[in-house]
Amino acid sequence: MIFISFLSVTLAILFSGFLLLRGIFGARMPLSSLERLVMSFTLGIGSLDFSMIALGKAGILLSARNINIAIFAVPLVAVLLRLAYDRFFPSQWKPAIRTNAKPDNVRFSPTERKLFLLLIGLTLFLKTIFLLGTGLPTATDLGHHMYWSKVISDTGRLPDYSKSEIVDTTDGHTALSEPTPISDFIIGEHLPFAAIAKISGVSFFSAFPVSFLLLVNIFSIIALFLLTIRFAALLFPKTGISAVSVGLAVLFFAGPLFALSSPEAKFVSGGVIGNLFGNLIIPLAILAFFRAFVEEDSRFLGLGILLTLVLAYTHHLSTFVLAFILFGIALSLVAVSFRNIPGLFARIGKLFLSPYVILTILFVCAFFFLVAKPTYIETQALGTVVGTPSKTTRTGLSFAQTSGSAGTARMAIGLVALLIASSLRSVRRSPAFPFLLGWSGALLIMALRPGWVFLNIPSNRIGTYLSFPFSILAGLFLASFPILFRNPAKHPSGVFLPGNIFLFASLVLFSFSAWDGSQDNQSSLPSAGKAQEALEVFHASRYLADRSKPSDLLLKDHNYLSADSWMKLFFMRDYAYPLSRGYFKRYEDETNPREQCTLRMISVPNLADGRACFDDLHVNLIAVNPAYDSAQFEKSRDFSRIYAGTTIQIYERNR
Amino acid sequence: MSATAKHPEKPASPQLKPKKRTSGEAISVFVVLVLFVVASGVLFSNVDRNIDPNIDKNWWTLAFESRETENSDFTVENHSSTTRFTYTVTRDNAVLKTGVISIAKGALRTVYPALPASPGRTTVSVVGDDGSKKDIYRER
Repeated sequence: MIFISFLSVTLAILFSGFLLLRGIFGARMPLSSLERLVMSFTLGIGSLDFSMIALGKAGILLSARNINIAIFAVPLVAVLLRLAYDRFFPSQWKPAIRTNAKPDNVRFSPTERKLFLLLIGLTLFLKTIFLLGTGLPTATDLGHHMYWSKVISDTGRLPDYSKSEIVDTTDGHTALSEPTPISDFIIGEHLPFAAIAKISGVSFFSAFPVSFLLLVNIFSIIALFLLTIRFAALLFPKTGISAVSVGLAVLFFAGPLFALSSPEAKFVSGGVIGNLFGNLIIPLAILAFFRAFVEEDSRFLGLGILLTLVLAYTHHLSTFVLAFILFGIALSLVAVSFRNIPGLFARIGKLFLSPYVILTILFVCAFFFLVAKPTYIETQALGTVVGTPSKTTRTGLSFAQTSGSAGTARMAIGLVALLIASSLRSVRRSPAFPFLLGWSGALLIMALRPGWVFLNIPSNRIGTYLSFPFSILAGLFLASFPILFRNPAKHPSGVFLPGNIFLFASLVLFSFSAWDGSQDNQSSLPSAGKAQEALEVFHASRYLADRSKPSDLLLKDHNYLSADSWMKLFFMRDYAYPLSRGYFKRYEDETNPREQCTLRMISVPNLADGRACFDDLHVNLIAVNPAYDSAQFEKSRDFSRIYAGTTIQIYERNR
Repeated sequence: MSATAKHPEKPASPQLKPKKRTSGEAISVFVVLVLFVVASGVLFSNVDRNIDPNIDKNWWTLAFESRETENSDFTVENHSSTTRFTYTVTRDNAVLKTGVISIAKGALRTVYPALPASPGRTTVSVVGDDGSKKDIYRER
């Protein structure tokens, strides 16, 4: 029943997004069925987010009933407005919809449909096997995010993203500060999970967070497939290559190959929620902007702006990356249109000067200024990501590291594709080329030379965004290989490969891709799950939570306890409760000095430094793994052991 | 034959017909959703199994029932294949109580030793029939 409830809410979100799409485009949507599916899901999440934020800011309780209303209210209003507009608005006042759409591009042949389902099925299969191996929801990031979702679900209020920290006082002691704002969490990462939990009653300690993220991940791969089809239709207009076949080649690179790496299944199990939503919304936004530009349909521009707004309230880093990508695309468009830049600006200007876009921009401004700003705007966190890189981890990746992030095969083949595309006049003239060039170029610069664009973000985070454009480029190369080098009438490369050499080259290309991708998959398969260890931690947490007093202060270890970040969901006192002894190397990082009390209270509780921390902070409970951290407590008369499990023990400081 | 007579038309060969491109997308949407439902169902079932403390698990815990320092009641919660546990309660190494308790897998048992009030370290040691041992203690 819980599973059915979870599915029902997910499908409700999907349906509400479909209604919103219907409101934007009317009955005759210029979208393929798969585009409708993925767009509906994303818009449904966006609509849910904005509705819940508005309700929360208005002081209305986020009860199950109110959330149900929130899911459907805005889309239904949009549909009704649309119906009224279609039926009653004088046609002479309606703006003309110019569209050059060629929907035939996305029609599947039976073989292509079977291949698509085979690739998607294989991708889902591999990811599910990986996720089965991880056992229970134990990932640190996922635990942090689910805490905030549980705050919303339990209290019915929007969360106050803040936490208490251990700080040094002026008199040489340490103390717990009052809660200070955190800018790393964005509300859109938590609202969908809170809504599902509230309505369906499903526990956070279930498969629902990972299942939902799996759906987001699969849809992001389908979004890439759909974007490729639109690109390919204009890159290979007269070659006889089916745009869907090109999409299938990209699906091969983006789906079963590298299925388990970051930012794929690893991000799903790890709960890197913002990145996953970013990977869904970025290709959809590019798709919307691309279709707006090519088909001169302002509705798509409005849709792209709306998707960008959803992203802005979901993940700050992805929003930043999208902004850079769009800037790169704009530069590329200017570069390829240098002979007619006024014409380019006029074309884009006409799109902006349409009621759809103006209304969308008005909505964006109204929501941003009158309802709520994203937390990273309110805490002025943007200033920390712009500037000269401040640490060695932010000065850019090496080329080898970048290739590793994107997938070596994808990177290598993708770069060759980019070079060949840049050299072919017929491809350069295609409107898809500046989009691909701008997208991949912007990310390469951000990853390899962040200082050039004054970017101060961990470079390995940027590297994970490279997989998508390079999957497209690699897939384009794979699909066009016969045309480039074999078709005598249409080999624009100017190089004709004899039969045996062509066959050998094709086999090498395919084998290299398959080997690299499956190697990556093999190295990502998890070892035996730690379900029992995690269960013991949950059991100990429940034991303490049932017997806790307001004066209690618990310190736990992050190095050797499984699923420790999920302990906070049992107490729901503060994001930083229980206190945590973090990774040892963080205490030695001279570029980012931090308090030492959490280290000392577990590692050296009997020395003067450790005792001073206990006296200052009044920590009275310690949770550790006895295999690593029991001796120092056992030989002290200051501590009682009140709970003993196999992989976790709890000590209480004697009064 | 007249110059204007037309040659009889040959029937189109099936091989020359253009490949039919149907909109199989609606079916694809349905199948994608079905595949997700199946994958999700498998994940739910897997987590339900993993979060069950008794299925494929072998652990037990020992803990004081109360946070009060004067209270020495303790609970053994069993999720292992062992069902007999021998407990010993000592205070500063003097044995005050011993006993054997049987706890089925998935059950818990609380023991109320009712100890005399006196200062010292009260230690509860429990040993399972499989040799596994745990102890807890508190200062009074």
